Amino acid sequence: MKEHTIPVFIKSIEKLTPQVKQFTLSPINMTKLPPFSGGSHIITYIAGENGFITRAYSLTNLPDQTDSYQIAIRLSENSNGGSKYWHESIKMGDFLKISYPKNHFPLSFKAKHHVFYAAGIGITPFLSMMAELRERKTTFELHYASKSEDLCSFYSLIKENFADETTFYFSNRHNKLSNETLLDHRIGTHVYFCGPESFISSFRNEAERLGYPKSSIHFEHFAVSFSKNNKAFQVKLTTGSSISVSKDQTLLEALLINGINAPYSCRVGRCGTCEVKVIEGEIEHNDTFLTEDQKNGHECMLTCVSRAKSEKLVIQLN
Amino acid sequence: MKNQPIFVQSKRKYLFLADQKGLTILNPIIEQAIINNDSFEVVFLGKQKEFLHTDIAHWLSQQKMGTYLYVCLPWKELHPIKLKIEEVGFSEEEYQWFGHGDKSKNVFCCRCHEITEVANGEVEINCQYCHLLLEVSDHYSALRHAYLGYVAKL
Repeated sequence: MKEHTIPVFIKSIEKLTPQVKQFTLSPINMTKLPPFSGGSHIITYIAGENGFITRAYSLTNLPDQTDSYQIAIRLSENSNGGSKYWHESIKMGDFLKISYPKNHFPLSFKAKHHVFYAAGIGITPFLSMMAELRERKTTFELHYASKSEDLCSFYSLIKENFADETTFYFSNRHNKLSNETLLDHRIGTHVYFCGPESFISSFRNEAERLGYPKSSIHFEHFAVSFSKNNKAFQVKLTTGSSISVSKDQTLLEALLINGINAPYSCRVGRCGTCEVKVIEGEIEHNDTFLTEDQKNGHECMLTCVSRAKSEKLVIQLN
Repeated sequence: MKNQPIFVQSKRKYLFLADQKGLTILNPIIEQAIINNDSFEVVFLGKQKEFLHTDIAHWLSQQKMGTYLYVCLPWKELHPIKLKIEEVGFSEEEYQWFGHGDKSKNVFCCRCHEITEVANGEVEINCQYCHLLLEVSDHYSALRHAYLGYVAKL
């Protein structure tokens, strides 16, 4: 782990819904944690049997509350360690390390009006963003879809603080959030999407179809989605070493486990920090950072989400 | 700004804001919108200026996301309209603008900080406020909407 980290302990755990728990993290060696901007996240590092389990979680507390951080984690049915560990093994008083706050999902400073679209646990980055906009006295609205009121994380907090700006959509009441709401936004609006992959693609595609400029569309993926069709592949570095990437592992994870000092930051294909040069081999690009031209050029890739189409890749760390 | 208007595909609606000459320049784009059966709206700015700037700002602010705007006006009228367009929220990706006719230039005096309007192409001018001889640079300030004028003779 090359990144500078902050040691924290679990101060409290609160069950928000049957599937979502909120964790409050307090600093160990300092009285204040670094301040952050709306939409920021941290990476948590938990020591596991095969190295660190690293996951990115949005900060859900107010940006100016720096005596502790809060994160909310939904227990994923397909958890491969992260949310399962947090829900089943983490206890109050446990120690862990976290990264400094990062923000790959910032508020636009050009927007005249901000509209947030959240599905399920996708609400988390918007809590600090809405608080920041309230402080700035900038207009915004939230469209929040959940299966039911009971399963809606932060329902009371949102009702209490952002009732005028929020529309809830509960599928058990047959009130579905439709991407047709994108038709209504006035010029100067920026839209932000966070939720499952299918939700984000549906809203992104519709916004683009309507003619929204790309710079007015913002979205955040939570994690790398592993496909059942993923295949293992071999990677040779120009320095000479070779490593194997298993089907349920990212190239970045394989590089780090093998002690290679590979750069990274967001781990979800957004920031471009982990970009490497590809000398040989076919690439399956899964990021949202490179342009179409760069992807078609097959000369670079992001190790955090992209994989090999061929059996072998030759890469050069920049 | 581009030299010629370019048709930008896949927008839900197109807006055209122009005077008589401007409409002629934008005509190929309007025709393209008609051929594509796209929704569009034309606002004509005649000599009587019946459409005041406040009306234009209101009209622009009522537009929805996905709208694309083309503006073609005499150079002198363009800048205040551009300010309105950006104020209501159109980004550079959502509109194209073109000027026609005589083009003047604002020059910012490096000594007294006043602005002198001159014909385009002038290389040296006298500041109309402090009378300093200025060399007109190509250093443009979007904030001042003027080019920096340096001391021409030291």
